[in-house]
Amino acid sequence: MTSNIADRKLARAQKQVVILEQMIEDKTRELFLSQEDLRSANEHFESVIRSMQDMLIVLKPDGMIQSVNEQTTSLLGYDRDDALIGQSINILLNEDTCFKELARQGGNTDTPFSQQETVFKNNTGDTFPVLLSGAPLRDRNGTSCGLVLLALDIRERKVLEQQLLQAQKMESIGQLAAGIAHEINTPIQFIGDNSRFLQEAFSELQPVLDNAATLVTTTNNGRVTANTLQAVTDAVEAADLSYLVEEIPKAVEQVLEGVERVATIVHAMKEFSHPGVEGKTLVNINSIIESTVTVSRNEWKYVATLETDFASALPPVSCFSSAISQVVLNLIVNAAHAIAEVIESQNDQMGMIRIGTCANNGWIEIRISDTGSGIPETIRNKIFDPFFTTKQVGKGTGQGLALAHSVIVEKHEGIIDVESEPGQGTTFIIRLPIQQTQHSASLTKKS
Amino acid sequence: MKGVVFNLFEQFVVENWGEEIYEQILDETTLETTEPFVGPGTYPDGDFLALVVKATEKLNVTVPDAVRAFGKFCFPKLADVFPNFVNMHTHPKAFLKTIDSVIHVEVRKLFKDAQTPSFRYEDPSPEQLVLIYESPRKFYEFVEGLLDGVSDYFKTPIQHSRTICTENGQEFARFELTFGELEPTHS
Repeated sequence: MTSNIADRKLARAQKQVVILEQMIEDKTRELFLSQEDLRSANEHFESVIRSMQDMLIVLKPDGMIQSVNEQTTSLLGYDRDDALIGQSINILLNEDTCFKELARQGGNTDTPFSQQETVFKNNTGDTFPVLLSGAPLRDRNGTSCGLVLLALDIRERKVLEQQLLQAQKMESIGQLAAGIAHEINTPIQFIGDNSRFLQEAFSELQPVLDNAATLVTTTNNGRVTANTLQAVTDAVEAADLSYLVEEIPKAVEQVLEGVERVATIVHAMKEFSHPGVEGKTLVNINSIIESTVTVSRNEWKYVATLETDFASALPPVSCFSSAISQVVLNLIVNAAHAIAEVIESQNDQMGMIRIGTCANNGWIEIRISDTGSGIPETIRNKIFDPFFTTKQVGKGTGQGLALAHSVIVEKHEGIIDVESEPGQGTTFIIRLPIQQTQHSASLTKKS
Repeated sequence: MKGVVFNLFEQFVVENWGEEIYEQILDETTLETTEPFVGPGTYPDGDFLALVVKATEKLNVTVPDAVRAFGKFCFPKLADVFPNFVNMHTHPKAFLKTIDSVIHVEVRKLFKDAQTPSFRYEDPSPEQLVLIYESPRKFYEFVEGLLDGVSDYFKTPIQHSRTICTENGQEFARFELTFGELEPTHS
């Protein structure tokens, strides 16, 4: 029995060896195929990353660059990706970029962020705008172990935005042109009238001057006659000298006043239509509003009185001045239209537009109020949507407030809000952060 | 069921009752599998149950007792084959908590077709652990035997009680464990 058992066990063991050999072979094949699949998947993944037109940057938790795609190397002007790998993300960012602060603190965040505008610095130190998104990289346990950044080069878009803004500005100027011409025409008219009066006055003075000159000559020669003196007296009487002495200074004063008015309008036009510099500059918000009020005068003066209440000690704000003036213009024109509607429908008297500025808790605040018809509650959440308008066809494109929202919120990290009471009027409140102005911020957030 | 369990069962019978008994059990049991069992192979659960039932008939023991004893026998053998999973722990509680998240994950990596049971845990106090075992095989006594094997291996008493529960039509077992002090080693 024992040998029988031994034989059975041996036979089983031999079969087991064959089965195990087969299993090893199968497992080896399986492993090979898995490796092939893995290599293929890896190649596919690398090919996807290579073909990306955005910059892909993977950071370690300490803010060091772990890997980048070819587009990153190329757009930043480096020859090889290893020139960036191991470097701090700080070499791509400006001093004042919030993200740099983040990287300094560990380059890690648990909160994904998307489409924040910032600037990247290339290997020669030149900067260019990018739209940056980021998400924490997590290990298999869900623990954050780095950051994946996706950056889109928006240089071309920025140029187009600038061109679009300028086009909108030119459109506004076109719409305002007739009114501005009228504004210039009035002082030009009285400059002309007064100049003509001065011309006539001078021709009336000419005989007085001629006779006075003759009197001086004859006096010097000691041959003054009664006729000479009479001629002077006659000329003075004929010219009505006392009238001219009184009126000429007044005429000169009016000419100078007219010239000043024209100069103010031209200066405001020039300031308003200036295409603006590429970045933000420190400007006086009050001065921007004043120019805009001047160029838009003909839009509101027939329907409203405009009062300004500017804070005198307003700190300068770093902003795209051209864009801000366009926003203020849009709000003034809207206010005038709202008041005009009330006047037309209720045969009402002139309305009132009030524009005030102040510095408040770290913000520069601009309030533009009107005594128009107000905005109904039901549409208040739509007014900043592009193409939304309640104006008649041909009067509004629905772009004014959409542009205002984009300029204030996206370009300046600010806030635009509206308070409105139907039948009473509307107040638009713009807040621009003072903090941003101190750092000449290059990172703006979408709110 | 993996072939390693069949191989351990053979060892269990041979070590306790001899080779002849095992060969008799093998001869007298009708199995679906015609080839010898090998560790990495996968075989019908029914074959294992048939072998166990035949063994209990032949040895005149109850099936639960046999399965429990087999579980206790298996643990040190498995620990010898896969020491890395066990030796990193000094207390059975820490080890038991890795069954689902580490050991069974590794088993499934090696054997794609492995059907491992699921273990969930409650940790009411440092001296206690609740193991919630769920498997279509319902090898409750095998788990109890393994727990006894774990206790011996770590030289730490483990008192355990079992409650069968049903939730949404699914049956599972709740093992409430209480760990005693580490047993002193005798020199």
